[in-house]
Amino acid sequence: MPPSRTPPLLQPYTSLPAESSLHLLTSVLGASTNWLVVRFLCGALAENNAGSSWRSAGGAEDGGTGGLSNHGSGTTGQDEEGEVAVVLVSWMRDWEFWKSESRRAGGLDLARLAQQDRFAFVDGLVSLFMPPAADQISQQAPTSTPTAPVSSTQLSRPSPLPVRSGRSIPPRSPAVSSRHPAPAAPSDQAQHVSPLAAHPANLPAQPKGLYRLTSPALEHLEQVLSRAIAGVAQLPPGKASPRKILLILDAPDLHLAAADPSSGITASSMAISLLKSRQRVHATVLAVAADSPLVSAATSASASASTTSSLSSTPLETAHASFLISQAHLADVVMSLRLLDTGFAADVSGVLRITLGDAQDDGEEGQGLVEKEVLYSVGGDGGVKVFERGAGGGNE
Amino acid sequence: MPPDLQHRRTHNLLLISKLLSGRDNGSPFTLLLDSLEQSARPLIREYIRRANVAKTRVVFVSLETLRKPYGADVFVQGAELRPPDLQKEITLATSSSSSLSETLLIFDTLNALASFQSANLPAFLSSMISPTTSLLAIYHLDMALQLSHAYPYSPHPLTLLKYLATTIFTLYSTSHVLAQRYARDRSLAEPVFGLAEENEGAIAGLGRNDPRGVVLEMEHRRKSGRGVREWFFLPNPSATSTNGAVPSKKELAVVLLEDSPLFRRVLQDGGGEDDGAMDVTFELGLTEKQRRDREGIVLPYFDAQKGEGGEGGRILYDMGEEDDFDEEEDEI
Repeated sequence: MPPSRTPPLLQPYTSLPAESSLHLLTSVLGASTNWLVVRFLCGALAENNAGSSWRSAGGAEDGGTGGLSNHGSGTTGQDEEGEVAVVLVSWMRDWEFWKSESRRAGGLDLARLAQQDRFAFVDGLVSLFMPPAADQISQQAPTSTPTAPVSSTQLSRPSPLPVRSGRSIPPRSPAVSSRHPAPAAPSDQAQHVSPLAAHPANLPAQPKGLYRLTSPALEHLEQVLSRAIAGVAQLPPGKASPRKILLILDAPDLHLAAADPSSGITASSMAISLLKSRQRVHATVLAVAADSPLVSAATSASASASTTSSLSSTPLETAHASFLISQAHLADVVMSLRLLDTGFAADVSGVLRITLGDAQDDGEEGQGLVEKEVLYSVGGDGGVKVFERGAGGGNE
Repeated sequence: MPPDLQHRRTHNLLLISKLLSGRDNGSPFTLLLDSLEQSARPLIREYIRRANVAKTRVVFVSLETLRKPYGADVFVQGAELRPPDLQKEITLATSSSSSLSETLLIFDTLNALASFQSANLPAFLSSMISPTTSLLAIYHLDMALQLSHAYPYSPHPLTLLKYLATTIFTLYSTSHVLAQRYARDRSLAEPVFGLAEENEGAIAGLGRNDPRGVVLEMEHRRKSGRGVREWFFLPNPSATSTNGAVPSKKELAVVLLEDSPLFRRVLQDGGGEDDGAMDVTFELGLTEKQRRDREGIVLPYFDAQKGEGGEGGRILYDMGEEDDFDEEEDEI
C-alpha cells in the first residue's frame, strides 16, 4: 500500500480540518464528490490506521469480539495528538458502497475501524421513509409522530443494516422486486420488515457503528447523529485526550428534497440542525450538489436581488439553493467540482476549484491554504491525479 | 488636486470613522449586504475592534455562527429560538448592560429571520433599537428565501430592510473590484465571479474574500434624509501584519477607494495578476525616474508658442546646415 493515496496537491486540504471548521464540497452530475469524501476519510483515518494495521496484523482476524484487543494494540503505537474518529452520514450511498469504495480508493478498512469505534456510518438512504422496524405499533402515519418510538427502538435494537444483503425476501407477489421498499404501502411494510425485526437477536456478530435514519424528522436525525457521535466519542482506554470527531455529511440535500416541507423541514431548519450537530464535533465536511438548476434560485436572487425572484423557481430549487448558499457562506473552504468547460477529455475528469471563506478570527488556521483551481482525473482503479492546468498529469 | 475631492475625502472619511465607531449614535441600524464573493465578517471584526476600544458592549446574536467571535462580550445562540423567544433573550442580554452605556447589537444573518413567516422583521428589529443600542445586521444577498406563505403583494424582506436601514454597506471582494475596474478602463467586458459566472458547478469565484481587504460601498442616510454615497477600502489588519512590517495606524485606516494604493496601482499599470496584455521580453513601462524626466522635457513646439512665432499661421523654419535652399519653393 502506498503511504498515501491522496495527491500531494490536495493533501493540505483533505487532512483533518481545523477545529470547528466547515468544508463544503459541491458536485455536479458527472463530477461527483465521492472520491473527495474518500480522501477526507483517508486524511482523518489513514495515518493512524497505517500504524495500527501492520501492528495488529496478527490479531486482525479475531473479528467481532476482538475490538478491544485490536484497539489496545492500535493505541500503543499511536502518536500522542489524539485519535481521530469519523462519523459519515450518507443520504445517497449505502454502507456497501462506502466500504468498498474506501477500500479500493483509499485503502481503508471501514468495517474494522468501526469495530475500533473509530468510524460510524449513518445510512440516510435505505429506510428514511420506512417506519421503525421493530415497533409493531400503528401502521398509519408512521412519520407524523416518529421521535418517541424511533428513539426507543433504535436505542434498544442494534442496527439491522448488514442483514439487508443476506436476508431472504419472503415469498410475495412478484411485483415487489425493489430492495428498498420505502414507497410501499403500510401493510407491505409491516410484512416486509417483520423478518428484520426477528433477525437481529440471533445474529452472530452485530457490527458496531452502523446506524440508519428511519424518519425524515430532523429531531430524529439529531438523535441518531448524537448517538453515532457518542458511540465514537468514548475515551479510548489508556488515552487522556478524547477523540477528535470529523463529521461528514454526504448529500443532505436529498433529505431536504425528499422530506415534506410542510412538516417543517426547510433550508433554515436543516441549517439549524446542522449547526447543532457541528457543536458536538471537531470539524464538519458537507457534500452537496450544485447543479445549475439547483442553484438557479440563488443566481436569480443575486442577479436581481429583487422581489420576484423567489416566485419563478420551485420550492425545491429555492430550498436547495438557500441551503447550499447558506452553508457556503459559513464554510471555511469550498471545494467545487465541475466538468471541464471545454467538454470531455480522456485524461481529465473535471475541475476542482478551491476557494476560501473568510479567515477566522483566531488566527493560525487557514495558514498554508490558498485558493486554487486544478484539474483532476479519477482513474478506473479509484486513484486520483490532481494537477495544475497545463501540467498534463505529470504530477500524480 | 481639486478642492472638491479634498473636501469630499475629509468629509467622508470623518463620516465613515464615525459610523464604524458608532459615535453619536451615527447610524441606529446598519445593514451589511454581503455575498459569497465577499463576506461581511471583516467589517464586523472592525466594528467589534472599535467597539472594544470605545468600551462599547458587543452583543453578538448568532443565527448561523458556531463560535463566539473574538471581542464579543455576549454571545446569544439564537438559531434554535423562535422569534419571540429570541427577542426575550436579546432584551435580556442588552438590558443587563447597566455599567456600559452603549451597546452594539450584531446579527450574523437576517436571512433566517426573514424567511420566518411569523416574524415581522421590521417590527422585530425596530424593537431592538434604542438610543443606546445600535444594530448591525448582515444580509446575504445571494441567498434565496423560502417564503412559502408570503403574501404576494407584500414587499420582499430585503426591500423592507433597505428602507429601514440608516446605513447600508455593500461588500465587494477587492480583487474582483480591481479586475472589473481594469476591464472597464480598457473597454473590455467586465469579468463576473461566482454565481454570476453561470458556470455549472462553480458557486464561488476565485479571488473571493480577498485577504488584502474589503471594498465597501456605503449609502448613509442623514437625519435630514439626504443620502451620502461613497466607496471605501478597508484593509485587512492581519494581511498587512503578515508582510513583516508592523502596521502603523495609518495603514489600518479606512481610505477612499480611489486613494487606496492597490487601486491606484491598478489604474496605473493594470491589476497585478492578470497583467497578461503584453507579453514581451523588454520593458514597456517606465520607472518613476524615467517618468519624471520625461515630464520634465520641454518639447520644441511649447518653446515656439512663446515669443514672436506662430501668429497668422506663419510657418517657422530654421534652416539647418544640410538644408538645401530652394529658390523655387515659395513662401519659405
